Amino acid sequence: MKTTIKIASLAVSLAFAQAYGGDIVVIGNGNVPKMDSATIQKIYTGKLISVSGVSVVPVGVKPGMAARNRFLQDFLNQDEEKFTAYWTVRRYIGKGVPPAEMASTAEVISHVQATPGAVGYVDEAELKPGLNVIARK
Amino acid sequence: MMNSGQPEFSDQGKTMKNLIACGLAVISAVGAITARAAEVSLSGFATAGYARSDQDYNYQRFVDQQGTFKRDSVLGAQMDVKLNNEFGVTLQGKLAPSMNSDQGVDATVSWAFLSWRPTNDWLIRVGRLRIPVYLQSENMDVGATFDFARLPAEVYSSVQTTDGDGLFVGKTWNLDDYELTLNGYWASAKMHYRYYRRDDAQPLFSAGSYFVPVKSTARGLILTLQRDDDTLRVSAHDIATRITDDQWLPVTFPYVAMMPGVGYYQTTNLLPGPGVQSVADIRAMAYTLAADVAVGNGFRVMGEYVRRNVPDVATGPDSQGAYLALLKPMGAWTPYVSVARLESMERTRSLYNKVNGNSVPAFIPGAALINVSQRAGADGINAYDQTTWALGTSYRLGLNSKVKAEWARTRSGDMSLFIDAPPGGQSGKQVVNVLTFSYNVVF
Repeated sequence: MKTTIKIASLAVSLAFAQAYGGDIVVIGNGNVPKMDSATIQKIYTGKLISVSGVSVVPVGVKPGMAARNRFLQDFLNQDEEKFTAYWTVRRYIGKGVPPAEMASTAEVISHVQATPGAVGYVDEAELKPGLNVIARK
Repeated sequence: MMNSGQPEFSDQGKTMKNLIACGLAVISAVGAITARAAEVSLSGFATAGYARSDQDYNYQRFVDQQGTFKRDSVLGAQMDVKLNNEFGVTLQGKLAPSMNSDQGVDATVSWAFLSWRPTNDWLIRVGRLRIPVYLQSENMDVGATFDFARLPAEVYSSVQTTDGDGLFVGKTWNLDDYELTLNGYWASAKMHYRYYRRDDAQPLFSAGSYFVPVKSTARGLILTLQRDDDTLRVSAHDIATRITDDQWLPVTFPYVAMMPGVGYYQTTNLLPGPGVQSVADIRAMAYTLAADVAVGNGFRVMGEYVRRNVPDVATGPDSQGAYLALLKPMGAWTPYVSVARLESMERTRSLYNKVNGNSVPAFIPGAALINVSQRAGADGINAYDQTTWALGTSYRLGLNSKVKAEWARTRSGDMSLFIDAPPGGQSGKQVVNVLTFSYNVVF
């Protein structure tokens, strides 16, 4: 009986994770150091371009994707509307453009692995050996 | 004086071409030494704005009871080229009603600059860009980035320099939750001052608008403190303006007595008198204070104050202006109420009132011409005295667009250069109600 409950509970958890995603983690190229959430926030809002002497370049996924929404909520404490509005103003005051947007988290992983200084975010479930996790919430 | 503030394509064709060529050369040169390919980002912005007043004369150049799209409409495009993490090039161009004529549309280059960010804290930009005098100076053409249907003219239309060619340096300090930024700049810009002559006096002059070309060189410091969405800003600007044609600015108008109680102000050297002293160079200091802060219960307060000190010229834009607005973001809606005031300093208003109100009796030879010259002289004085109340809202249609509506009621005191007074009429003691609707988008 106990085992049945555990299996049912696990199944519910997996279904929930599939529907809503697991934790978001921030990954970096091998040359990017570990950092805290506040630093991640400053990188994704254009306030930091280097950390500990390493030039960092953030990337993300396109608006509307679940990973992006959870990243904005967890690390920036913002929603899409506020993030887009922030970068619209920043672009039109001449202070840069928002992080590049990729079509999938798989693309983010490939880009981050291949590009020195690159920083991205993925669902924890997509982590694979060799990825440099630089921040967790 | 309604300051154009925008370098013009027609006047600055060579400058624009040079800037574009310079920008492209910079892209090529820096790109060539950059291992990574440059990332190019294209974007655009547009506002379709309709405004209509209850008066038959023009207010703020274009707004009358016939309605107009010319006051607020603009179409722009921007290209950001990221050469690497430190270097970038930005070009911005726009199509908008001409600022050196009340007719037609001009294509202008608003921005063309190379930016260098050697560290997290320093930002150095060279080229043409908007001088951050006010809270919305840099993005004032992009209606989707703010909630007002129209930025208060009492502050935003009285700036002396907006886009400038020069050097801009910024240093940022991160202080726990606060971010403090000090910007300094040294830049120059060509633009036009607009005046409106209400009376016709052929062959001396015609009624209607006329534009005086000027070149302004400005340097200034802007200190900005930010925490989350709250912003406080103070700035100081030293502005040297040179009129680049022969329409020099009179220092004042000397009074010529003809008999006891009868006389005129010599507003032109075509009239007998000691002579009108005019100057081509005008020195001004401008100071601003600004705040955009949350005040609880979801309300925000925005306010800006600007003082322009023009000590040497009584007819100059020696004035102070301010606005205060209360906004209440509620989902997609952001209703607001604002009050704005612009007034010239006492010396300028007093001179305007004396000249504008002066006339000689009909039996004086040339009385008609003298009397017209008095009003024409007053029309050339940079005098303002007006207050505007506005009630409006923005409504966000999506991530990238807003529609806005506003009713504004402007009452002029003794005068306002924003009002094109009808022949024989006055810009003072007027009430103008303006309805504005606009669609604003970025793409």
